[in-house]
Amino acid sequence: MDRNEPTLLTKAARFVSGLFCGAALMFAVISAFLIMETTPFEEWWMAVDSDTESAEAEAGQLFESASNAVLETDSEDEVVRLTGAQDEGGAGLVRADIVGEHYVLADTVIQEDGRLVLVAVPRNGYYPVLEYRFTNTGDAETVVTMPAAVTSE
Amino acid sequence: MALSEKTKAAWRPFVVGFILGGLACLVGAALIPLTTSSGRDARQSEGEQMIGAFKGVARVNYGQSGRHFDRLVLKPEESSHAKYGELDGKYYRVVNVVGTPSAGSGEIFAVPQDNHHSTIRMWFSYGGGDGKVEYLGPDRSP
Repeated sequence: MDRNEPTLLTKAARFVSGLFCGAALMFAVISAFLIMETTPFEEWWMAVDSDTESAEAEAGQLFESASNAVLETDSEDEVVRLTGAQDEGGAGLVRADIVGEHYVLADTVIQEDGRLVLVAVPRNGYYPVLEYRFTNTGDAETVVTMPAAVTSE
Repeated sequence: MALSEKTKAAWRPFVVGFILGGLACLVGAALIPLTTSSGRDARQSEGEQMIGAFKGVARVNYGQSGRHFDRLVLKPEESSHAKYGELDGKYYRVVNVVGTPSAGSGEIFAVPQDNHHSTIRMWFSYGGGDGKVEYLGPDRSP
């Protein structure tokens, strides 16, 4: 046996160190890949989360434009939804009119207790579900019907 | 500089270990979707299951009365098939509204209870009952 040949212990140590080095390198590569993969979601999330003032303002704008469209409808038929032609029960809006960055309006006009009701659904758990209750005499109020689920991480 | 055969032989265990370690890590990463996403999917699944169940409620309400209801939880005199408590799940909450995106179809929303998922919207047909799920943010499905 060659005296310079590594012992079995040395070979084992080299094997184990190789094992760790290989795993560490692959771990780094995979981690970098996974981080890049999740970036679009995180970017979207950061753009829509915790911006309560913008969300409230957006919901207000969606409610205002949708309620105006409902009240301006001159169809004799009952208005049952926001989108679609007036002769088919719609208020004449298109889908893009009821979709915002933080909120989406449910495509319906609820008639409840003598008032008309619109519902704004948040696109994530950071904001509350809102209802806009209004009449054709100009009375209107915005009510939180489902509080925000998420307040902080 | 070429390595001698002796040096190559001496470091062969390291190279073999390096390759095996890398492969083991790769296999481990490949199994991540089966473990972590199953937890993530469980949340999404709950939302989709809840929304699917309430699609059934909306269709039953429609079938029994012949008209669309704008709410899932109805007034007592309207013989509701859903109660308020049933709208809340562990990971998702169903919104008490049924949209009418077109004649003969409805839409229901489920809002997440965490900040890792987005709201789910289900469009469905009252007649056929077929539904289509849409995430109102990026879909986190693997």
